[in-house]
Amino acid sequence: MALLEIRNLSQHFGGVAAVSRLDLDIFDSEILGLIGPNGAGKTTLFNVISGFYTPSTGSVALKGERVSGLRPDEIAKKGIGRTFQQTVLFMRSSVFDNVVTGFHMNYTSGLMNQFLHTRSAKDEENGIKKEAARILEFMGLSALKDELAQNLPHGHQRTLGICVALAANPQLLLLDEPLTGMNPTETLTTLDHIRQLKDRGITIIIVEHNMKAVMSLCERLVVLNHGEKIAEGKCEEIQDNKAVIEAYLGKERR
Amino acid sequence: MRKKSLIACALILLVLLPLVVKNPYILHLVIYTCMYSVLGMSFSMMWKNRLITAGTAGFWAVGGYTSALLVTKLAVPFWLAMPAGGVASALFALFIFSIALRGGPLVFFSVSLVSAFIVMEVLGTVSFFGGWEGLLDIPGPRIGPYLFFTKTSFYYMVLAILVLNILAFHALYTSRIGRAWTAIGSSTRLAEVQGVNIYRYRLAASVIGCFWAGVIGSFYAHYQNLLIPTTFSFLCSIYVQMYALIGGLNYFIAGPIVGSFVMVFLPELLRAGQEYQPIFFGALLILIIIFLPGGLLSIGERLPWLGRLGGRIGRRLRLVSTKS
Amino acid sequence: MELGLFFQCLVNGVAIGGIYAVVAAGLTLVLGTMKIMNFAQGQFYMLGAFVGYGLCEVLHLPYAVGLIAAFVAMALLGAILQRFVIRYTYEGFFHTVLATIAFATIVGQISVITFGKTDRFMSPVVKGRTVLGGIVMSNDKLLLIVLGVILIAALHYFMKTKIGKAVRAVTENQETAGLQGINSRQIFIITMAVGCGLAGIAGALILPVLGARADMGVSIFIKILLVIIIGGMGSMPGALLAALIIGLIESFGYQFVGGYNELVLTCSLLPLLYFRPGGLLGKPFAIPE
Ligand SMILES: Nc1ncnc2c1ncn2[C@@H]1O[C@H](COP(=O)(O)OP(=O)(O)O)[C@@H](O)[C@H]1O
Ligand SMILES: [Mg+2]
Repeated sequence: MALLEIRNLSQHFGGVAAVSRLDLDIFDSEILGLIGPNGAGKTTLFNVISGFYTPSTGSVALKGERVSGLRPDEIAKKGIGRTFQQTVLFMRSSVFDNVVTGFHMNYTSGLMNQFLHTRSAKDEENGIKKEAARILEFMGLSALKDELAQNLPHGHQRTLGICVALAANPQLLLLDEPLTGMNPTETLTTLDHIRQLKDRGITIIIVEHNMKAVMSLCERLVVLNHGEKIAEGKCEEIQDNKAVIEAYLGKERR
Repeated sequence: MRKKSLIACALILLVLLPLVVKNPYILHLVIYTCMYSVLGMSFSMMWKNRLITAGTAGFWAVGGYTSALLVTKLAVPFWLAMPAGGVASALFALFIFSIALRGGPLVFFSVSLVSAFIVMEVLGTVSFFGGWEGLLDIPGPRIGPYLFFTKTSFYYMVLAILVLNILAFHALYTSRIGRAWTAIGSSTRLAEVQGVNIYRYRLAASVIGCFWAGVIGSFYAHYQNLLIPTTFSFLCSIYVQMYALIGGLNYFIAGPIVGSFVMVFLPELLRAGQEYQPIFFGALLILIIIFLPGGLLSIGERLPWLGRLGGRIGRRLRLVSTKS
Repeated sequence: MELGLFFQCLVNGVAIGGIYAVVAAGLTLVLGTMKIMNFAQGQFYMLGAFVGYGLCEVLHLPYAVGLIAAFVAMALLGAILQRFVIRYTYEGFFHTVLATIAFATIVGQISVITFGKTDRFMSPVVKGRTVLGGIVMSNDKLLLIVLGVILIAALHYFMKTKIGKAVRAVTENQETAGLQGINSRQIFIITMAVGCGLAGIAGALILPVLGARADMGVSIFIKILLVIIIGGMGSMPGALLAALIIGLIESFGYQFVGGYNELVLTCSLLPLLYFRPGGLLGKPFAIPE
């Protein structure tokens, strides 16, 4: 069974169908590449999956359980994490605090314990701080942990975005153009990190314009154009697909 | 650690203050500063979630009237009536804001404003609450055999409330709850994606904030011995916001305190005509918004040399010991 | 209920609703385009009434001059507020709101000091009454309704002109509008001018019926807030509809509920918001982050 099942999904804005009658399966522990020209509806699809929009028609189900129609925080609790196309961080907090805040859902001690800062709450807090440090270590941001997020260079901000998403311990991670603004070295390291995440059992959908990166990362690609799925399959198949070439060339001609 | 010892020093100074300040009027102003600080912190707690309440005065009034009526009509002891005032205010907030928050921050803002008007209107028109002439002859607080009467005793009482309030808010702000609030204030979208239930956390902040507004309302009622509905007008809520902004909106505890202190004492220094004060306040506020949007406390942040300059002048004047 | 009384209430309600509609339309225009709540809107209304009073009653100029002058003067003041205050409040929504509140406080207090807290009445513009099937209406009230409708229509046509289209483009998306060569700073000034001008002319409109008073701005602003919450923040049709509804409720309610009218009105807001958090015709309004 697929991890995420998208059935007959449409999202209309006024007259525009940003996503239209989309059927898509995402399988456990895969990296799925989602590509398509600008305005194809990729970000909108992410927004629907993560609950920012209630779809006009159709449904999204995680492990057979319907999630469309739930609030974003409820969907997050079901195990879907994401990053944003435009960098969104807790800008005035430190890098470390950003990640610790990301752990919001992982607390088990009651609110009263936390208000009173009891022993158990403190222990939990320390455990979470250790976890946060581990994530930063893994993504290579340890050296910057006391820096304010707003003062980071853009590439590091993108990385931090992934760290925050990881803190929620997601099963499915949606990455919206994670490589924009990164230099080639950063790109390579980030790709490495994403592969390691997959090895740890996190399923990933990645939207990215850097074709080389996508090809090296994903086994399977889905191409959107005008909200519709125009192709789906292995990388090589997609490369030679007529409809895809047209969609991209059509865009260039405009 | 330096911060902790600084706070301890400040606290000792505050406790010793009545020994130095004998002038009851100045003590009265200090009491007002503390009251406005509590109100301002209540405002700040909501502001941390990027909720702007324009109804602080309404919740202040609910606390004050509840406590006063409990004491006068039902002879409830004061030390029970005070938390009851807070609880009444919190329950009122729970009712109003659980509905208003469904519409987002702007609706919250407008509803808080409107509900404060409803409160004032009800207090003024319903004769049970004393009408527009107000509720008179509210007895002073009595805890056991001790009757609070002197300014000094009231000062210690309000100081205790303020300190408790600060401790409670500090505990909240440094916990996961406070982090969720910061997250909401920073980016609602990202907070949601990380699993923060925005509605619930915002509601919690408003209810807790209004609880303390109610508590200090009870103090106010028994300190002044009378409550007049027009005290709790729109302007009062705006003053609270102003004080918080002037102190510094990003300083959720220190901001309201510094702002209240400055704004309670400044008019006294200027002795401006009562009539012209709103004009002066308005102009000052606009200037601060434009030129110092982070408030007075952000001066240090903006101009690190100012702190060093202060130190140098202090040494020159032998205010600060040279050996340290 | 007697039919005559019914129509009396109806006309009163529409007249009051019309005033609310004009002021709320101005506020909504600004709110939608600039994502700013102008708390001084009520004061512009009050000043508009005093401009009209000064020109028509003191200087005995024709009423039309008073109306136009109220619009122009308030539009200018609004543009000044935008250009010299609001533009510099870049910290965000709250700072801007507080700046308009501060401005409103200053204007309000100056007016209280200069004009005192007394009512100023104006002699009728169109003397006499119209009797229609047993209902007696003062001509001024009818004039108000007619002019209110004309103003709303004028606003509607303004939005279809080139400037109006630019305003709409900025409302939709400031960045794309910028790419189309629209200077959003200029548009903001124009929007603010029109929005405040509408409040000013509404003040001059109500002048022959209710007179001018230094604290009239504060009391109407609360009503306008109700209007835009009920109508839906930033929704123009919603604001107009809600203005009419509130005007009617107020006028009929005054007959039946008396002094508790406002209380009932404000309390009825809560169930509405419960079922329609975005108001009648709006979506939940997001304060820009
Ligand atoms: N909130 C919205 N309101 C109206 N239209 C939108 C909204 N979000 C996206 N769209 C439209 O939906 C289409 C798809 O946009 P998007 O999902 O951002 O594309 P992509 O991420 O693939 O570049 C675009 O035409 C865009 O204008
Ligand atoms: Mg996109």
